[in-house]
Order: sequence, then C-alpha cells, then structure tokens
Amino acid sequence: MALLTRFRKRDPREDASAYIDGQLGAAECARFEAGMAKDAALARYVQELRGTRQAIAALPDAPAPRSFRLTQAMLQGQRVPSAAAAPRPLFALRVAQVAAAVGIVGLAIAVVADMTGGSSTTTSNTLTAAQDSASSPVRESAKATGPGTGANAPAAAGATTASGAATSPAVAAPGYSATNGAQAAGAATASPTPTPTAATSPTPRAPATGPGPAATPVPPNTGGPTAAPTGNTSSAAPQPPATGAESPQTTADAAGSIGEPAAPARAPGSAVQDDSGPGAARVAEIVFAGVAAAAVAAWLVLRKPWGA
Amino acid sequence: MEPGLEPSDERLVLFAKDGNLDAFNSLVDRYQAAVYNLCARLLGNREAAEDAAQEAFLSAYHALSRFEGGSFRSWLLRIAANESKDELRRRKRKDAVSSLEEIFDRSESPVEVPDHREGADILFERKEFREMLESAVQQLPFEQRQAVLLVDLYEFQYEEVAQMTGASLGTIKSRIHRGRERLRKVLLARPELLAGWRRLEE
Repeated sequence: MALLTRFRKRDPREDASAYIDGQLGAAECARFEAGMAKDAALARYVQELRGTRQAIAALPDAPAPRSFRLTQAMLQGQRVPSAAAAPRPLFALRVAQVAAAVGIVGLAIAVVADMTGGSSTTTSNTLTAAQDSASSPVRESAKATGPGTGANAPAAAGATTASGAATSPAVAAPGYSATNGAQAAGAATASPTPTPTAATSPTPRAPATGPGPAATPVPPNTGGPTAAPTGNTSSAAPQPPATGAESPQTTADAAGSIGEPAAPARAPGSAVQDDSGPGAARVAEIVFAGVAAAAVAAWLVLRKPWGA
Repeated sequence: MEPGLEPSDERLVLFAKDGNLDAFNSLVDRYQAAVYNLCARLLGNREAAEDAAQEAFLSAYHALSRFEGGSFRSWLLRIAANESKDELRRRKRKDAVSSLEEIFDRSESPVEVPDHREGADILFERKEFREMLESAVQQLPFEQRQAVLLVDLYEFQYEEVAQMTGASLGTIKSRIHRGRERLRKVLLARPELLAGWRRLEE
C-alpha cells in the first residue's frame, strides 16, 4: 500500500498551499515553479489560493463582548463564572416571564376576589334576576341613557379602580364569569379603552367576554355602528363567545335600572357582602380560575424566552 | 505613564509573574479581542467562546511561570486554541450560524456608515463578503478550521500548529490545503463579491 502511494502520481495542486506559505524545500519549490510555467491552470489555481489566504487574513476581529480581566475571586476560586451564569438578555427575559406570570396570577386572584363579591348576583340572587333583567325593556332604556346615568355607574366605578382590570368592561361587570377570569386579565391589560364606552353602547359588554382579543372589539363599540341597536344581546354582540358573561352583566344592568345605583357601583375588589356564603358554584369558579391562571403562568414560565 | 508609551509584553509578563494582577490584566486588555475572536471562530458560539476565552486567561495566569519568553500573543493564542478544543468537547454545537451572525455583526464600526451610494455598495459588498467567508470557515471541519485560522489569520508557522495540535507536519499541510481549497470554491461561487473585495484591497 505504501508502495502504491509512493508511486501514485501526485497532483501538483496539493503542494500549492505549501508553496504559497514557503513550506516547500528548495528542490520542491523549483519543481513546482517549473510546473506553473508550463501549466497556466496551475498558475491560476495558485493565484486563487493566494487570494483566498489573503481574504482570510483580512477578516476583522469583533470587539470582545465583555472584559475578561481576572479578579482575585477568580484566582482564589480557580473557577471562572460561566458566561451562561452572567447576566444576559436571556436571563432578563426569563425574569420578565416570571414577573408576567406572577402578575397574571395576582390579577386572576383580584378578579376572583371581585367575582366572589359579585357572585351574589349569580348565586344568591339566582339566575332569575338575570333573566328578568335580560328580558326587561327597562334595561335597554337604562343602557341607552349615556354616561352619567345610573346604568353607567358600574362601569364608571370600575374605571376608577387601581387595578388594570378596571379598564375592561368585563371586569367592571359584577357578575363576570369565572371561566373568563384569565382571559379578562389579558384583555384588561391590553385594552386602553375606558369602560364608559361600553356603557354608551346598546349592547356594551358582550364583546368584552371574548378571550384575549376582547380588547380589540371595544373600540368598535365606541363608534356604535358595529353594535346592533336591537337590544338583543346575543345577536347584537359582535363576538360569538358572548354568552359567558351575558347573564351576570345584564344582572348588573338590571340592578342599575331598578334604581339602585349604589349597589352596582361597587368597585371591583371592594368588599361586597355575600349573602349565601361559599357555595359549591363559587368554589368551582375559584378553582377553575385558579387552574386557568396557573396554566397560563406555567406556560409563561416554562416556555422558551422570547427572542431566545 | 506617558500616553503612547505602553509597557511591553515582556515587562508586563515579568510583573505578572511576580503576582501583579494589574499587570496581567493589562495583557488581558491588550489581547482579549484576539483571544475571544479565535475562540468564537473555532467554536461558532458566542457563549462558549466567552467561557473559553475566560478560561484561557485564567490558565495563562496560572501557567505564567512556564512561559519562557518569545511571543506572549502566540503563547496566549495557543492556550486559547486548546481551551476552545476542550470547550468544544464539553458543549454541543448548536445555533452556530446565528451565533456567528450575532458575533460578527458587531464588528461593523459606526464610522463605516455610508453617506453616498457608491460607499453603501462597497460596504454592503464588504459585509456580505465577510459574512460569506466567516460562514464558510465555520463549515470546515474543526481540524481544518483550526489549522487554516491559526496559519492564515493568526500567522502561526506550520511547525507551531503541528506542535500545538500534536499532529504531524504533513497532516497540518494537508489540513491547511484542504481547508483553503474548500474556501476557494466558496469564494469562486460568488465572483462578484470576490471582485468587490479585490477592489477594496487595491
């Protein structure tokens, strides 16, 4: 095998790099140059290879991303803190994720607390009140009265709370469904529209029951043209999932319409008395909201950080 | 100290050997870009390169007593090349290309912002050419990449690379030639960039 290799005709191009770098002996160098004189392709190849070497040599250095100076701590520990352990944008993103998760959980708790207070309308007052109010023509007239009326009181009160959820009409609604608690959190933070806009709409709160994007349907309501003036909440609602909060909200509206502005005007999170005590339905609501918030929080924490 | 009268490497090494950490850190300041870039090009990963560079300086400090003179830069880069190889063993290579973009995008100096069309074209060609070449270097097998970079970019002799890597001189010759040959093909595939680069070199 070695013999075969020895007698194999050697491609002169294999010596081109060594020739360029001055690594050939005198005899080899002379032989190579003689070959170039006879073979124009070989000469061109050497030129190309030389150009390649020059291009590599011209590659600029990037600045060091940080100082690599040594410290006494490094010398004593004889171990360098890993670059991965150093504060990095990735770490900041992770912190932001955790903060967002904590915020969502806190918001969900606030919503649940609010909902728990307002659930008196859904539990103790029963659905009959909601049904009554939903079918009541008075409700429609009360809603249509515009800002400053008793019907607007709940929304206005909600808007005055410190919670970000106050910007969401859905959260301002006393009987907001627990199933939408986490969604409302997202919607509330995204919605720049104050609640009075909802009150000015004939069917104000139905859009707010939508998940996540519920913030976007709010502005159309302010203009009014997209909201049907029929008074039929289910048909007028531009968002299909309007059914979740419809009844509780109409209950609140009904409360306003029957001349009790103080009751619906409670702010979210305010200590509203619960007549019935913790019932099974409320427990289920709380558990469901907690699970939903925990799921969102877990997703935020465990997912790969943005931009990573 | 008067500006422009920087102490020589030899002088700083002497102080550092006596335990003067500030003197050694002056050497770190002087060579950290070169060390980091060698690590980055060998590893293709910024985070790994940072770790390898830091380890290289730490190893160099502890090995100072064995430094017998000559080029401190070469000695340091040799340590960095070895640390990079160790780091490569420890890590899986992933996201190399994107990391490289991240690494070398920053080498664009702010003063190179073009102010007319022709200048923009030239800068664009130069940047594209450089990125293409950096990417092509990354595609080389580690041994070829190491040999080509150490010889062409860091001006090591074949014998030094052979000693550094424990390979024979013939092996080093072969690695360098094969690596350059691959890069030549890549460059020839984009003759317009190569021509633009040559214009800049003239």
